[in-house]
Order: sequence, then C-alpha cells, then structure tokens
Amino acid sequence: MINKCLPDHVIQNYIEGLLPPAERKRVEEHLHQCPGCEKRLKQFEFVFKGLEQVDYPEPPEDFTIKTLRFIRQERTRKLRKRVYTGVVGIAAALLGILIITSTNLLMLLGIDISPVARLFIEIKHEVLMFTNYLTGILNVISVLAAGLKGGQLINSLFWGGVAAVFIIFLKLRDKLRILQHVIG
Amino acid sequence: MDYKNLTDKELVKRTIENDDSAFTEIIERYKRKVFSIGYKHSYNKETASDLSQEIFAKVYLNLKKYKPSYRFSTWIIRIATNHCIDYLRKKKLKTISYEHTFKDLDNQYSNLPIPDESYNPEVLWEDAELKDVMLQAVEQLPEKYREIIVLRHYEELSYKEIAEVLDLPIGTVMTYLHRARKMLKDFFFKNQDRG
Repeated sequence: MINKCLPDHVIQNYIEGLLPPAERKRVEEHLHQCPGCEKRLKQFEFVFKGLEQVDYPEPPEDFTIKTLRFIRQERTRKLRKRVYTGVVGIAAALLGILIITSTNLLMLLGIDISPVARLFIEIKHEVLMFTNYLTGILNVISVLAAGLKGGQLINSLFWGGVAAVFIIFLKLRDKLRILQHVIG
Repeated sequence: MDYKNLTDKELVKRTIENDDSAFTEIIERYKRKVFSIGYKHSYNKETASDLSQEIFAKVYLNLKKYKPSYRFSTWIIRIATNHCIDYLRKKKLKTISYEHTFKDLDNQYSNLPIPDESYNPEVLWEDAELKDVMLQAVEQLPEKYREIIVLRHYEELSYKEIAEVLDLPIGTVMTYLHRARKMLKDFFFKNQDRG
C-alpha cells in the first residue's frame, strides 16, 4: 500500500539532508513505491543543481583602494552637509529672534515706529498666528493617527480571531473524519 | 600591527577609534562576499562594484550602531542585502504576482530542451543558455523569495543566519525557501507536468 504522497517541503528537506534518519528511511521507502513522488524528487533535484551553477566574477584588483577613496569622499560630504545645515539653522534662528525682538526694542527706545516698522509688527503677528494654526493642525493629525492605529489593532485582532476559529474548525473536521474512518 | 590576526569585533573597535587600517582589513575580508551579493542583484560588474563601495561606506559610517552581541558577518550581509533591495526598488523592478512571474522567460525557455524523465541534471546544466534562464528566473521571483534563494544557494548561509539577516523567524525563512524552489520547479516543468 502506497502511503499518502510526500509534501514538496519534505522532498526538499530530503534533498538537503535535513531529515532525521527514521524519517529519511520512511521517505526512501515511499519513493520506491510512488512514481509520482519519484518524479517530483527528480524535478527538485534539477532545480537544486541549477541553483548551484551560478558563477560570479571576483572584485577588481583596485577595489579596496577605490572603496577607501569613496568612503573618504562620503565622510567629507556628510560633514559638509552637517556644517551647512548647522549654519543655515543658526542663521534662520537669529533672523527669527531679530524680527521678533527688533520691533519691541524700537518701541522700548521710544523711537517713532515708521510704517515699515508697523508692517514688521503685522508680519510678526501673522507668522505667530500661522505657527499656532499649524500646531493645531499637527495636533489634530496626531489624534487621527492614534485613532487609526487603534482601529488597525482592532481590525487585526478581529480577523486574527476569525482565522483562528476557522483553522480550529478545519482541524476538528479532519480529526472527526479520521475517527469516523477508524470506527466505520 | 598585524590586523589579520584580529577578530572582526576588534577591528570594528579600532576603526571607531580612528584606525582606518583596521577598516581596510574589514574590506579585504568581506569584499568578495559583498561584491557577490551586489553582482547577484545586478549581473553587471561595474554596478556590482558601485553597489559594493556604497555598502562599505554605509558599514563604515554606521559602525557605532553595530552591537557586538551579533555576528559581524551577519550584520554586514544584512546591510548589503538591504542596500541591494533598495537599488532594485529604485530601478523599479517590481514584485511580480505569481501568475505573471516568468512570463517573459516562457518564450526563451520554450526553445530549450525540456527535461524528460531520463535526464541527467549534471549534463543538462552544462548548457549556458539554461544557466542564463535560471539566473533570470531567480531574478524574477518575488523579492522576499529571491533574497532567500540568493542567501541560501549563492551565499550558502544557514537558515539561522538568513533569519538574522532578513529579521524573520526561521520557520518563515524555510517556508519562503520551499515556495521559491517550488515556483522554479513549476516553471521548468510545467509543460512536462501538463503532458
């Protein structure tokens, strides 16, 4: 009597020598009796052999020197970028402080604020309003994102539960069939 | 100083302490492996060389993030694999659904001898065209399957090492590998199995 045919992963594990001795023997006995599984074994052996055939060239002789040169260039580039970002950041911060404090300073010194200075104050006011507005939007987005994450978690738990129930049902059904076969 | 006798972790420590000769030794030890990973994602020597240089640059600039509790070889292969995956994504080699995988290879392969039941794999795989078809078939596998085939069959990593490189459970690695090989088997033998 031919036992149930071998799954593909068992045939692959057999080729790779990953099966324990007892199972290896059982597989070999089955292969002697089952032309279908013997055919699949040969097909998988063909694939395994094909995957061994790939050649690849060696790296060029000057690879190490070129790589070290490339790394030095990358290191310099990253350092320059960091310095540039730092300088721009400091300049922007100083400009911001200057804009915000200059109008107040002028007023404190009792200097007559010209229309240009008044415009400056209005711009400062608008910028602060806009910043508050942006902060508000970001807060709303954060709340929505948190809600979305919570929703995703509930979704995952629900469908995970459905899948688990279904798998348990299938396993019980198989066990019942075996029991019926034994009794019957 | 004889760097060849130092362990990988000692070389990393020295490199972080600004000893660039230590990193030169790291490049010497891993250049073949990194180059082979780059080549198997591009099949072009110049591209493989460029990818390898970028990989070593990433390794160098991120050495402070390396945790000595992990094997250094696994860490460097992970960086190499992820960098090559990013390269392929940028080249817009999209993951192809199973139904369309190998579509373009069908015409190429139809002219080659289909192995029948009496074939000898040793003899058949001497055919250069067939080898080329296998290379392209592997390249067209879905990304997660392709990477595991490359790491298992080309880089000869163990299941445990592959799991560490790709940050996957070992069971998942084995499942993906089995499915990838089955896809390749079904591609080469679909006509025989139908007949």
